[in-house]
Amino acid sequence: MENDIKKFLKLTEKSKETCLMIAEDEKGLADIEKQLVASELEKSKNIREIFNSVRDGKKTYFILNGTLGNNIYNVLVQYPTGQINAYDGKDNLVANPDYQKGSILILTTKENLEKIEQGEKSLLRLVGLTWQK
Amino acid sequence: MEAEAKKFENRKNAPIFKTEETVSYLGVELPKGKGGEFCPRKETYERIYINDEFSLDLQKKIATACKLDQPILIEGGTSIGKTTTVRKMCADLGWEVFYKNLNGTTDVEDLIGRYIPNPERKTANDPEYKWADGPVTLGLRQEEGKIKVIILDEYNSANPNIIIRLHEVLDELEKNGEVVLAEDASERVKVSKAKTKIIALTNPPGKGYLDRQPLDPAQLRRWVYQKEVTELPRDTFSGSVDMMFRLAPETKDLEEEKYLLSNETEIPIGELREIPGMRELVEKYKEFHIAAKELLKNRQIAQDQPQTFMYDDRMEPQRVLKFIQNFYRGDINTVWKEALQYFYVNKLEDWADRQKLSELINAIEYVPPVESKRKGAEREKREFSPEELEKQKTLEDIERVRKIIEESGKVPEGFFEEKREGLSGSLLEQIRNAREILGKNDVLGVEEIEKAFNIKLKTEDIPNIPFSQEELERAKELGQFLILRVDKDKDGKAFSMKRMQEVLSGEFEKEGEGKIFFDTDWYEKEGFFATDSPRLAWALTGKEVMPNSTNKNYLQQTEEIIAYLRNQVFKGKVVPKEYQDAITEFTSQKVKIEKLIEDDWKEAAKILEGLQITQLTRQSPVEFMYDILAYFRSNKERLFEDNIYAWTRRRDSDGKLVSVGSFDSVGVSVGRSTPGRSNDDLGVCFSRSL
Repeated sequence: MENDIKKFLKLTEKSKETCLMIAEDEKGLADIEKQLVASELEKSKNIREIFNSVRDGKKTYFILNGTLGNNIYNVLVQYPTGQINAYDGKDNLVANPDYQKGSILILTTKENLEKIEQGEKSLLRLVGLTWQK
Repeated sequence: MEAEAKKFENRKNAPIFKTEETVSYLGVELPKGKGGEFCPRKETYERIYINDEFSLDLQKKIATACKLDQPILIEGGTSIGKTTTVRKMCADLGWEVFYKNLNGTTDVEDLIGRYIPNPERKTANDPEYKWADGPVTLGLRQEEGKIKVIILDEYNSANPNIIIRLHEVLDELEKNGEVVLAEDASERVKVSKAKTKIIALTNPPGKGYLDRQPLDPAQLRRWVYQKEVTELPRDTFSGSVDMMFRLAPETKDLEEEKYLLSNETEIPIGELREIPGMRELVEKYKEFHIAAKELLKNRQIAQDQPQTFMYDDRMEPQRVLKFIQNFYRGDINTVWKEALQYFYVNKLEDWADRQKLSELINAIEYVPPVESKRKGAEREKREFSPEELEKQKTLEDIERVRKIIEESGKVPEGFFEEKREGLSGSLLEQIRNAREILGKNDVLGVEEIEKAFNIKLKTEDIPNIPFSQEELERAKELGQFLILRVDKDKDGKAFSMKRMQEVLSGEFEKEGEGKIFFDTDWYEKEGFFATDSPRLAWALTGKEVMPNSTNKNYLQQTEEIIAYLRNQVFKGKVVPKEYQDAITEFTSQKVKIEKLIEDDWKEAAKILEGLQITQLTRQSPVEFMYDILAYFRSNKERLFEDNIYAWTRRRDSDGKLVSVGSFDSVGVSVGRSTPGRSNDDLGVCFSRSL
């Protein structure tokens, strides 16, 4: 699996869209996360951190639970348009992706993906390259 | 002046033309802003954006709305790149972008802003809370040198409370007023539509976007609504892929018609009003607007569009006016057409619907009076001599006085209409001149008619030849003949087809020419045979069916007549007003007739018969008979001898349209057909009289 993930991460470089990794379950998710950290991807715990990573041209990942909140939805919708912009209730955040350097990877489990897809907004419609074991 | 001309030339030659201060999108010029934190980066789009024909057109539409300071709502599928296009333009222009996706947004505060705990609070004296602008408020605040764009994405997913608040913002922006931040102790934010542009984006309701509901049409009236495709057109997709793979140059060469050249400054309304033709076009526009509304109301257009909309009586004219003020550059007809295309046609998705409306728009045309030397307030200047200026001023004074008198209602209608100039001299001299132009055989004047029908004419009852020398020369080129039609026979009776038969049958028989009519059984009691007579007038008539007029139904034939008038009869000339009006009338009714041909052919035939264009250019059955009989009696040549028929302007008692032809020795045949019929032996015999 390790090589498999590395290969996938290589593919996501310079991607104009956010990419998705689907883990079998919570354990699988933890395994993938280890691989991502080992590959020098930085974890973003909230929107503000995603914006910081994008602004700095870093590769980042974000773990999605069973809901696709407005703010992350906003980021995923906008990422391919050359700029992301959000109001987090305090500040108006803005970042201009550098697709040559940075990337955003969304990590979730099969179960959570199903929950999201049953909601009003589709995650699968918004992402580009997708990996699952 | 030279520099300005060069600038215009440059804007016409490059789809996206950049200067230090401006960027033009297919000719629509926008000012640059000074950039800022929220301005997208140019380099990003150099890598990811493809300037194909579709994208350039989309940029032109957005630029037009921005140029006119009008909020625009673009509906189209996700794959067409609406948001990316807006951001790419902002990167070009140095404009800041404030984006809000309305999908899932429930609180107005998420747009306008809210109070938050003051992070800088250090002592009890410091305020506990501070105000934080939301994206909309930030986009509305004016800052020196900055131009801002507020993108409202997935607009049709918004909650009603959000829409209401946004409408308040739009209304204030429209009047350059103040937006009151009720959420922030009623702070008033001065807004400017020149400094803040609002662009709403939606995906089509239905069509794979199941969570999107159509907007209330009344909500759309504040927006310039532009309907884009749900998916990229196939050729655009293909061209775009070629460009990505560098198999084609990135920016295509586009035809000049794709460009829309804007003015540096808006033309004042007072100046616009004085442009010749403006009043006439405003009148035609009113008719067009009503016709477009009717089509929409009856679902004859936009039938398959889930998002319903309307053509607003107040907003649409205001927008059109503003467009003309910004884009008029000397060609009044073109600017009107472009405006109506932008505000009316671009709301439609289906190609056929767009065609229907475009045809109505084509009828909106100002035809300057023939021989008029008047010059309008043309934007493109040229040097006039003092004499020319004096003459022009005099003509303008005359025109002004004429309008005042005409509007006073103290002169009869048509008093000032230009008098048609026919041939000069006495009637006999006119006929002689006509013969010199058309040739002896092709002028059937007094002498020929008297001989053909055994009648004696009084020259004082005969009208002058109304056609000019130029018209007769053109008629000669088109193979037409000039004929004097009279309405009464030698006994003063109406000269009907029946009467022609009575008068001429004996002679035909005696001279071994066969019969006049083949079989009159079905129509001998019909009005067109028994009672109709020709109108006393001179006519120019074709000797065979008009080119391209067979294998077409009656409506399609009418379209051919119009093309023939424009491209042949009045080639290189202004189409006279009576024909122009007839064309306008036809165009406004065409869609309706087309539908009626399918649903109610009798009604269609009735309307077709009554159209001015039909009356002006087709013969009645009796006129057709009169013309071919006179020609035969005069020249011993049978016109329409082969199995070919002319579809006339007259219906029979059953409501069908009568055709006449096949003038051989066994006699003329008379037929009748429903208007939807087409056949290879059924054409138009073009004929006009004045």
